[in-house]
Amino acid sequence: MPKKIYYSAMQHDKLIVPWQTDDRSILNILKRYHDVVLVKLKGDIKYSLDDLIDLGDLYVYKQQTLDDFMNEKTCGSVYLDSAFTLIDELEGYPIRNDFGPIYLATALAQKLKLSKKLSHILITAFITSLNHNLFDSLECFYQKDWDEFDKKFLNKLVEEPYQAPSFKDREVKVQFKKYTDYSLVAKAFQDLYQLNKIHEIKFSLANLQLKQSFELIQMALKMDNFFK
Amino acid sequence: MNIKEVAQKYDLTADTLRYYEKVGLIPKVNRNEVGYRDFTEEDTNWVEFAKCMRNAGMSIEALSEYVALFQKGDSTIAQRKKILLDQQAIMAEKLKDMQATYDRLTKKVDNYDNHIAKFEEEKLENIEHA
Repeated sequence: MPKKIYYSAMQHDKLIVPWQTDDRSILNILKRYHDVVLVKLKGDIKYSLDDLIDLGDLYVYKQQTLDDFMNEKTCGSVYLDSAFTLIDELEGYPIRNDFGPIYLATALAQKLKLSKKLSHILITAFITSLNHNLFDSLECFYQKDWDEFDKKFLNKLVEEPYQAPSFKDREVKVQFKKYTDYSLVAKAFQDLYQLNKIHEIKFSLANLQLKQSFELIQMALKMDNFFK
Repeated sequence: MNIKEVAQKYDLTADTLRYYEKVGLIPKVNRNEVGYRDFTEEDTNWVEFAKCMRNAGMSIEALSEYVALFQKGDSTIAQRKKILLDQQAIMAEKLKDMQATYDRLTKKVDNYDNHIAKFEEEKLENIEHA
């Protein structure tokens, strides 16, 4: 049965805009208002919106802001330490003077509770995808504790295309337990690629895969204000 | 009761009720044979409690923790009491702040009353001298 997705935003436990399928106006709401929760309603297309409110699946995405992420309580976290280390390492390279993406990737790594190694791989891959001149220097970012798989994984991540695959037929999911975390990092990388395009008209919430990425929408939207 | 009736009774929307259930502010509501929510009296009591606590400023985290503990049974009584005591302390602090603001406003209003009385007195004097 085909599904329909509606989006809205909540403030003080109440919807502040009606349910809608167009996510652009919801993004504007998230940009304008503080303390807003993004909500998604998904269900069979055969139901009216009224029925879907009762029968559909409701998803609630509490937004994390950069303020929350970088307040004095979280400073000193291993994730931020990794970000600062990478920023120091990048000083010697001609990259865009914009550390917003590093903090966005760090916030996602923290939300996913990734290991230090996988956080580093995720952030490095994301920065490399945004700065193509880093491709030739990729080996310089390898860490001592990485094995051959980690290196190959990073190299594969930065290969285009960056977006998630789309499936015409029902997706067949095969999970290898050993690589679950790597699979999560790959999805996180694809989501970061999408979040980085949040101000572009072609951005769509439907392209995000991870719940944790939906929780960073507001942060991604406001990143420009912090790193102008 | 269905979700619309409960929403109407407590002056909430169906979306808010779904949200309350989703984030754990009320326990999961049973469904009828066709899949729609069917609220029992106990469910509606939870709705009333959640609405009251949220209006009083209790956080989602504290309230959902309280509900989760309640569902675990009597072994969690002490933990539940601690959550309520913490909230009581937060509210007491808020009340103290509100009282201080109220007192300050009262002083300001009194001050204005004195000014207005003085102004009226002067105006009267000026009329008499004219």
